[in-house]
Amino acid sequence: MQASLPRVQALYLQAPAGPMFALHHAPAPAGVTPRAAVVFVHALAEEMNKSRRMAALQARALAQAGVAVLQPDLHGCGDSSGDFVDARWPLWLQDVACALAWLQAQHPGAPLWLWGHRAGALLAAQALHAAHGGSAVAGLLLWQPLARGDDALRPWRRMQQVAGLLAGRPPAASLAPATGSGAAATSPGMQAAGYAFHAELLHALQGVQLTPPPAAALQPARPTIWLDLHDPGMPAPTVAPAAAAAWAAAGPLHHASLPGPAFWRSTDIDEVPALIDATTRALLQACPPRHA
Amino acid sequence: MVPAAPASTDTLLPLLAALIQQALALPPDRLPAQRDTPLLGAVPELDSMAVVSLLTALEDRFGITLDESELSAETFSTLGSLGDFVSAQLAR
Repeated sequence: MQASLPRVQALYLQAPAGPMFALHHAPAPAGVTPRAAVVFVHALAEEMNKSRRMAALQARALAQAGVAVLQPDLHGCGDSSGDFVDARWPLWLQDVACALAWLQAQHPGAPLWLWGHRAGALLAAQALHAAHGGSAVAGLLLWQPLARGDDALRPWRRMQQVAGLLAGRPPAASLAPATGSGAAATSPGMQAAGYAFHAELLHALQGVQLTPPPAAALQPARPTIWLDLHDPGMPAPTVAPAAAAAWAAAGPLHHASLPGPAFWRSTDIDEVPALIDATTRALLQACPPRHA
Repeated sequence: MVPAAPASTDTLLPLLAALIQQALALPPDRLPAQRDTPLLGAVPELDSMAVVSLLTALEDRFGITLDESELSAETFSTLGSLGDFVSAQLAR
């Protein structure tokens, strides 16, 4: 095994909404036929920022194990074009489709995987639908997936409420309206911690759930790898998450919950080596070596 | 609900102090595990984002969902007032 620096390439893809920044991690060693090609779908807003380190470590570990990885920044996020207030769920679905197409073109024949983290897992699950260009995706890797989009918004509403409390406003007055019933497009969005959520994005998030796409005839069942972290002070959950049953019915499901910090929201930038190891092992098990 | 007895809050104090220190990345032993240890206003790191992160840490640690509508600024005035709030929630 030659000792060489990992090959990482920064580029802009031409996504429908505008230039989309992405990092491509080439599989090692140079010239190897990749076992798989994985598109990472990052978490929402501040969770994305706090998870950069873990995402980078994981991408590097996968690349070193012979897996190609692409880390795009969704529209309005990170180094991609647009502001966060311009982010829309349908645009994000197009971004994921664009990333998948680009990565497959770089690595023809490599099994394509989507790897979603937190709210990104919801987006990845929807991106599997044929209508969103997901037919070619061979497997799904989930890190701490949210069961419902609304779960992504609760911390933000809580932040607004707490900010109001500490400023001396009574709780009722500090609750910002999430969506108006039947008037989602015209109701106000939400501002919290420097992020402006457009009302359409809020509405879309409130409607999305972690469900597998309907099984297509003649489609090989897609494996799902689902990894959660639980507070080390608590015992491991004895019951699988409620949403896991639907995924187990849609194809082979590997679910595990490891003790570790919730790095996507912790104050310090936490690293969880056990999650990196478990993820790499599970993916390699699902994706045997290939020869060109 | 019956208000939580002070005894149960007292047993929570060391754990709460540890959780706050961890959630706010404070040095260990920064917060004495006593009822009158001041929080809001005395701990500069305790801003609204830190409060949210602390609420989430409490939920994860105890496996409960906290009801924000029962919060007030007084809840966070001391370790004791926070302890009373948490033990009342745990008693449900």
